Amino acid sequence: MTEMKDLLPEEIKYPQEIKCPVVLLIDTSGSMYGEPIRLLNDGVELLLKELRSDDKAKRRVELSIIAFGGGIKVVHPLATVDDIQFSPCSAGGDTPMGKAVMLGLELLEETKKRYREEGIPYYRPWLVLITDGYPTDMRPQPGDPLWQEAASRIQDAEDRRKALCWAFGVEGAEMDTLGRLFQKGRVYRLEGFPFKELFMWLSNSIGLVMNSNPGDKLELDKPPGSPLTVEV
Amino acid sequence: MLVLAEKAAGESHIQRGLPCQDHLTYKVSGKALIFALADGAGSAKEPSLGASIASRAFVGIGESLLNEDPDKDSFPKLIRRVFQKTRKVISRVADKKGMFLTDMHTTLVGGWYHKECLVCSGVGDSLALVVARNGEILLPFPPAKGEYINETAFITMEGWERFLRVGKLIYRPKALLVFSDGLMNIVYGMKLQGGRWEVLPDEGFIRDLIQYLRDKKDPLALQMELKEMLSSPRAQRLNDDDKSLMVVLFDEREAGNT
Repeated sequence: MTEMKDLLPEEIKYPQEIKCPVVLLIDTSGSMYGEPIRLLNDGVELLLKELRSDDKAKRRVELSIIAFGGGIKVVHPLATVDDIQFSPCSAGGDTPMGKAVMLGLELLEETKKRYREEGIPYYRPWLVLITDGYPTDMRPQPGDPLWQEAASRIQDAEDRRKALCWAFGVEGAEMDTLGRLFQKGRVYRLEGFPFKELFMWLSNSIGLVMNSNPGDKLELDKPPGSPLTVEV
Repeated sequence: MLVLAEKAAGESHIQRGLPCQDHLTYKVSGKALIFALADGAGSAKEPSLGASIASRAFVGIGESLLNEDPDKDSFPKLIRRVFQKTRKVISRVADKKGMFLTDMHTTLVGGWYHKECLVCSGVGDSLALVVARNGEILLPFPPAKGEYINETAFITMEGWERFLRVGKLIYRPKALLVFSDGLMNIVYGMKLQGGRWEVLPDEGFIRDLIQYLRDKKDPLALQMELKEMLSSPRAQRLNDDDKSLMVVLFDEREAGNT
């Protein structure tokens, strides 16, 4: 005999493949040479492994890795984690952080535009920057056009909820500059090079976003490191 | 008139030890019906309290207003006023408790059926669907979804009126469904087209459900079955969020196609 619950659909008629775009900006400048770059590469591998082990994250996360060190290199364009073949980065050169931030933010806006055109729903994107130094392509001064542009783009991204912008400064990072650049973002100082903890946190946090419903409280674990308070 | 309303906690909330934060209130008065569904935001301090106040206040204020015997053409204007007054009630309670209004973040869908006319409106991502006299399934007001899939609007937020969608009057409807977004993939689907969300009612399920209600007729048994359906493993597989559903048959004596 039919009961009311037998009327329920058997499967989801209009499945939504929701996307979560993440851009990872990693400092591969000369100062990262040796143990730091090795740990960073291991950390990225760990992030990919963790995301691949989460069924929702595997389908939904689209990750791009952009390295800034002696130039800007798109290590991998935006792709789902299963499609990413990560080649370990090597360290060298200066730190074009400003250009990396601009490229990362532009990539996220283009991606959202593409999603809208293709009818793909999405979560608010993440921009995550990791550095052990300071930018060499700009200085934190009002007269520096790249600095002004990068700082205002990050502030705009946060004010207008275009993206969640995170910055992590590991050992050697000039935190004052980082704090001024990401002044409306989320800036953390890390002791040493705890990339494993950092990428585990990132993977867990993205997983929480994947499993959230509208209005839900997203209780992200505290990121590793100490938050930076900026006096503006 | 047959009115069934039930709710069930979603698997995602059960696993986190959270209660169902939906609150559904309705009142039948003669041939009139006033209803409200509020979905508290898990990100708020007191979502359940906010939702409870919102749904009860809406029905209370709506009932007072209808007792003044307004003309049905004024319903769309009046419903906005009811939303405004409802928000003030939530705000007063928040003040009394030393809380912020945002501590009680909640969505709200509300409306009434009176003088054979239905009007409903909403702030947030709960929805309503109406079966019109000619059998067509209508969306009385468009969905409001933010840019991001996991964001919505609340009656308790700053500038909330920008997000209030006031529906047109629907004359002599056959049936009404009011539901929280936990019923996505059950009562409806959604598609993003050209940057706008389109609601796709599951017409098969809706018509089968209405026919089932007409055939079975025992309101108490139907109430229990509704609860069972919303709590069932299949419903949880389709959507793991809290589920609230109100189904109204305006003239359950009518047989035949929906």
